Amino acid sequence: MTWSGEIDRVHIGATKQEGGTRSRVCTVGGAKNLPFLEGASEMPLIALEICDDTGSWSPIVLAYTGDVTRDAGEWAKKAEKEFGADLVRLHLTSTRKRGFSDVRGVRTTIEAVLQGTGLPLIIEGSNEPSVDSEVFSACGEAAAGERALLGTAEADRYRSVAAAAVAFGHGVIAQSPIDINLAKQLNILLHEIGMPHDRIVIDPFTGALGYGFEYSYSVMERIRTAALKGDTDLAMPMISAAADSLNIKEVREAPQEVRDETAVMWEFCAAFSAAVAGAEIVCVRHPRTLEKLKKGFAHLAGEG
Amino acid sequence: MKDKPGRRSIKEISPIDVYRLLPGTACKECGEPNCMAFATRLVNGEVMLDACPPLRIPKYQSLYQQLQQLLAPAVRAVTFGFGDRAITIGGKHVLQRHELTYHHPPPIAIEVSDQMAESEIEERIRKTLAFSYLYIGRDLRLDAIAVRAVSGNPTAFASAVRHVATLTDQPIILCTLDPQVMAAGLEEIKNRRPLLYAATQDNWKEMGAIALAHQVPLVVHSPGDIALLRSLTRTLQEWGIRDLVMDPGTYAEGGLADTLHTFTLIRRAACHDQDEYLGYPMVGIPMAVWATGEFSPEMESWKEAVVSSLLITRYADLLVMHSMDGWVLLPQLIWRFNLYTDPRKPVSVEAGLREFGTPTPDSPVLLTTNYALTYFTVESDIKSAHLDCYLVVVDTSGISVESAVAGRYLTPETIATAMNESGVREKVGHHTLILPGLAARLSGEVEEVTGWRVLVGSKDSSGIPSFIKEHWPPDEATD
Ligand code: SF4
Repeated sequence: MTWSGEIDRVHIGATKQEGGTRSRVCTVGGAKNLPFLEGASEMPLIALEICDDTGSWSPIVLAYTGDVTRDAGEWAKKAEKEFGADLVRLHLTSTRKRGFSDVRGVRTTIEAVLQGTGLPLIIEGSNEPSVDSEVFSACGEAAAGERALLGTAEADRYRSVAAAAVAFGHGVIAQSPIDINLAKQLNILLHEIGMPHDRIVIDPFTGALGYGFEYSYSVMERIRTAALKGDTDLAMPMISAAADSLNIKEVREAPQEVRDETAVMWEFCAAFSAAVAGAEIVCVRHPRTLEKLKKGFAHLAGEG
Repeated sequence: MKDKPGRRSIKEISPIDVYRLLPGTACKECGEPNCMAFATRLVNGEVMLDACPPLRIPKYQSLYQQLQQLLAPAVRAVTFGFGDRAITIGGKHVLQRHELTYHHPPPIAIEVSDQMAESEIEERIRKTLAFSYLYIGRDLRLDAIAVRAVSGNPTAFASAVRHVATLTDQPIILCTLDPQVMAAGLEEIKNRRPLLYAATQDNWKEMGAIALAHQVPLVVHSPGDIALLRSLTRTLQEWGIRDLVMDPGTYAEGGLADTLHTFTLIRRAACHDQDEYLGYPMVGIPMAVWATGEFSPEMESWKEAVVSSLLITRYADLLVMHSMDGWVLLPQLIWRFNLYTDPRKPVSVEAGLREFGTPTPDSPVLLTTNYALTYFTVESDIKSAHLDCYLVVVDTSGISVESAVAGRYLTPETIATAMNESGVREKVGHHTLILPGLAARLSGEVEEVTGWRVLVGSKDSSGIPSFIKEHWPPDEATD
């Protein structure tokens, strides 16, 4: 098949020369054909997800990862040095608590993570409209010059995150609820308020395997096909995080002796299939999933 | 590689072309109001031709054959096994699922060998038959048994096959490259239509003769060599063997990229170029990773899981596996089930009112959407806690709570309508509704529109039992 479209390249992270402090930077996008269907495909990057308040985080991941989960900076360091992540995705879960007001704490956390790792950063801010504006501008500013990816913009609350991204030179994650048309609309909205296409990453929303993942899988295939056919409003790289994988019944209720294995397998299967559907960044929480995915992608790239 | 330029994909066929060939009696035996409606569902891949019984009447025989040709899938459907245990593999029309839908989920066959002790064979078959997982109202199971001739000895193989056949009536795959050994095994179960594995460049004449004589389907094995595979299927097809399955070779680790590439090229040739010699189902053999046996069982299981997950996603129509661990198999079975649902139809359940336990006018009223996954998760959490309650199921076009709120399928208005139509207002004496935590942002407006008080429940339905315990009955003073 010959396609007219090409996926935009999005750069994440900035080195010293570029005005940041990252020791590694990455570029996602650039695909000219369907992943693994037509000729060579780039392997996706893997982001390890961490957070600043572990209250709602999977106990399986917390137990495996250990004490560093109390300190986002140390956690990020370990993500790079020990687990070998390509990116770190920091969820500012502290902002999701009722009555949150500690914006200064958010800055401190981001600074600590930037200190802890030289990897490019994805920062997930609040999801409560009343604090969005404050939180996102704090995120944007604390990571100014680092060319991070800020998340998450949604159809009814994208202004704060986009404003912070525009003001401080970051990219945004644009999330739509498993719907190609809504994904397109949101990208148009973001573009209209000043986000260049090459700073948007599409998050089509990924359900856990067994809990709607197949819809995410097909919407990713459809978005990628539409983009290659020339729809520039959908020609952005995609990010996929089946974040619920570790909370589902099949994992929670797995026999104790195989619970960890089940958790890792569940995260792995969704991330691996998302890669085949076209995701350029896949996000996981269990360090062992990261290790398995790295191997799997190396094998898909034809490396022994 | 285009062989029959006249062949069209089902997506290019107009319902009118199909309608012209149907009996045109509007007898409704297919469950549709008329033949045109049936024709439309046929080209949508939603129903099978055999759902029109009149077509089997002799006077329509020629129409039936024309229709069969017109609607033939790009990948031939091949059946093995016997009786109501028979399974059909292949029958695919499209490369990407969203183009239509995938048909015939790949069965998983569990392997045993003629060198295993009888007790081990019994144990593996017992586990295969017992494996069952209830998922959104469906029973997910393992489908078949592959018997491998490792001994190379016809007598040993025959006795293993005989043993297996006494233990299960699941479809059987006979695996050996030695025609003599194959003949001995087949003799034991020749009336059960097993699948023969496999014909190769070296043995195709003998294997072909066996398949032809017994009218059983045959796998063609040509690892990593598509041209050879194609020339073998062509030769066998021209010889009159139409029920063929292809094994393009399955490799793990460093060979994974080639495996994916080969499966993909073959399926593309079938679906895009209508290459009929590559238009046969493909078997993936994830168990091949065990062949080296250098690593711990856990590592081998992982390798096998990686390969099977990839091959379910990309084009295997049948899988042969070794591992029987739940953590390996369960994600595969669920992924297979999901991938093969019709992407045009969200999996939904009927909207309306459900009652759990023995609810009274004082029992809590909960609400959820009609997305099957959401519904069954909520249902199982309510049931396992033995709650007495009402559940209002809102028609959100089969979308989950979170997405339905974002996509405006779950709104104060749709909630009010659902409550009115469900009749729940007449069932209870109170006016308190428990909304899913993920729909929290609707609570104020829901109170206004319905006139009921709203309690925001847990985000995850697993929190329902403890939520009810803490908050029900609701505090009178604030009601
Ligand atoms: S069963 Fe056949 S003949 Fe009867 S209405 Fe349906 S399609 Fe027409």
